[in-house]
Amino acid sequence: MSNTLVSPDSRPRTDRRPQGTSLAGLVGVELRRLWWRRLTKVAVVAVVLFTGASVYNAYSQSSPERIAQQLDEYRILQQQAPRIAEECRQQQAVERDRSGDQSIDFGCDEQGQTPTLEQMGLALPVADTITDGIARTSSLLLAFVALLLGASFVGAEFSTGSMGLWLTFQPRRLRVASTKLVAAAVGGAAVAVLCLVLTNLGARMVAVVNRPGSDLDLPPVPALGEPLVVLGLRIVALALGAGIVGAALGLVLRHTAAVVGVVLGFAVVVEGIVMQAFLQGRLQRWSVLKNIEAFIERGTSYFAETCGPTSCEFTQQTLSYTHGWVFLSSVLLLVVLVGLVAFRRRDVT
Amino acid sequence: MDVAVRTVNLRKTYLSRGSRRVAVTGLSMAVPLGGVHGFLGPNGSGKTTTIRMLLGLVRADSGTAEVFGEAVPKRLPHVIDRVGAIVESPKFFPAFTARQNLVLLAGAIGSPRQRVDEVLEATHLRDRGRDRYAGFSLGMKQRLAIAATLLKDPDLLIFDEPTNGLDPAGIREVRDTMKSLGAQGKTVLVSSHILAEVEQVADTVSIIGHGSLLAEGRVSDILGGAGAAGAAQVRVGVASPDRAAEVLAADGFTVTRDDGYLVVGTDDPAAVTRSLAGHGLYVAELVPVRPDLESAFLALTADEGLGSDADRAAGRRTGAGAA
Ligand SMILES: Nc1ncnc2c1ncn2[C@@H]1O[C@H](COP(=O)(O)OP(=O)(O)OP(=O)(O)O)[C@@H](O)[C@H]1O
Ligand SMILES: [Mg+2]
Repeated sequence: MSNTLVSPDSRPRTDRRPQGTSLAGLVGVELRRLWWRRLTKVAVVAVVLFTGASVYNAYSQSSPERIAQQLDEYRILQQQAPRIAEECRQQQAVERDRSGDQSIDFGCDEQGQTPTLEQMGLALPVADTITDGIARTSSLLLAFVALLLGASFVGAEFSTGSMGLWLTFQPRRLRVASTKLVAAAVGGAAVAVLCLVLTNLGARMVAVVNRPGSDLDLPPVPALGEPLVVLGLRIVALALGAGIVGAALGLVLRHTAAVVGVVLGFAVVVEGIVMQAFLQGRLQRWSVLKNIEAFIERGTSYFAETCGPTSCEFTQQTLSYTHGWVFLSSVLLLVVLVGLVAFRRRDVT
Repeated sequence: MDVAVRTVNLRKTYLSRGSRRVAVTGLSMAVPLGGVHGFLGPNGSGKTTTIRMLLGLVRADSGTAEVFGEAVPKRLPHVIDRVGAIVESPKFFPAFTARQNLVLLAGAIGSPRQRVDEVLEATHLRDRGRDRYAGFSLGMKQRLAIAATLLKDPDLLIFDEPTNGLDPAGIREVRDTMKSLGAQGKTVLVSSHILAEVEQVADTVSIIGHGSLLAEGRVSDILGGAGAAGAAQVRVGVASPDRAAEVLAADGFTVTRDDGYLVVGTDDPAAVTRSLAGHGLYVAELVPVRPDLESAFLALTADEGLGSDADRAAGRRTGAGAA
């Protein structure tokens, strides 16, 4: 029967029907697909390259030659300080004579002071400090990569039409959607972990390679405000959430490009313009980016107008860490809910 | 009669960009258990929409549907492992290989890994398993889609216009496949707008137009029905058709000319030869004109397309099994 597509013996030789899959098994299948995707590989390569560049930058910033050079500049500054103060006082005296006002103060004592080494950013290259710096600056980028991965992970299924096929194998929509969200979360977190681990390894190498000679007299590095692991966990959590948000938006918008467009549009229009332009900056309390900052940096601040009984003035407002994570979790929950409901209700054609 | 699929008053209206489009308008049909069932209707008549509703991909506005006695989409998870479907065209991840695509699907239902190799072999795709789906020809894509449905060893196979875009050899392969699946006792529901296709493979058929059922039953019954609507006819070839026409008309037959042949209305072909032979005219060729699905279909859909609702109701003939 060479004419049929199916050999007559197409019955399973294994002689058993499909066993069905547990939720964990389904997550496993989704993770396998995520791993096979081209974009995942691109993202991994991009993260590796970005981390490499950051580490290289830290390396060249802290090379012994550069530190020595900066120390030289610092010494020159130190030597010049008394002369600068002296010149300042002379000019101050001239001005006082000219105006007859003895209270004129040029602030010469401060001008004559040299900044400390810490203030100049001159310190021994220490692995944890380098990691901390790179990690903080990478956190937003990692979140964006995770969001993109999640969005495209789901968006591609709709645009290729394979979501329909998938649903004929696994018709429970909520189950399908939640396994995809979990896979996107794992993917986002993995990207962040990869970046942080590579950064830390790189930073350790920098600290070894760039250990300055004993002739350099550098102050001890100030201790980090919190253990590196705690910061790392927050960054991983951020990327994890971003992955989920990307996938959930993918469930709603059904197209990777649409998700990216909406997210960038939101960042520019809402975060960039609306938050600043209206209500004298008070909206910033509800800005996603500000709250991410508050979450990662354990609190942040913004400027907004506050009005007393008589007048209004711009003052610095603090945005607490708690506000940050509560706000972000609420946004995450909301987006997930909308994604699940939309996916459960809407036709897949 | 045992049914594999039954729908009752199924309705679906699509809302797209504010406009409403009624795709299925109260469709009631029944697909008997076992064998190939054609699902015939012109473009846009709602075949794909109906199939999507059966698979839980789109939500019906009203009406009910059941597959193997289980209400869908509510109890779909209980029967989905017995249903393999290809809706519209095969849709896989283009950047993945055939094997990768199948491995994922097998994972979704907990099918053992070796089943993937079995179905690749069964669909003669074993050598192409490691090739990307994007590089597949249409025929190979179709085979892969069939391979995917076989992962489940389904009892009901739903093929939506499976021969679209295939070359004659490919069309034949798909037809033979459907027949052999039907012969194995599986139920094959195949939608098509091509009459010849349904006529060749299907045992039973549901004909729909504008989203509702026009006729349903055994293909032979529907053809018979169409035959009865016009009387039975024979096509007669004789040396002098003009004289023969006069003779037959004189003997009370209705005669029409068709390309040098005569088409004679009669239930008794022997009466025609007797009449002609009596006048020294000898029949060179006599073929019964078999009513085909095409004329039945065109009659039904022409009615339906032009007519009012009342006409449509009058034109509807429903075989056994429909609600
Ligand atoms: N996703 C959709 N959104 C809006 N309208 C749709 C959608 N899908 C189908 N339709 C409309 O519903 C009607 C029925 O379409 P359907 O695809 O079910 O027909 P069909 O019988 O499968 O046709 P064909 O033989 O061309 O495949 C058509 O008028 C079509 O325009
Ligand atoms: Mg169709």
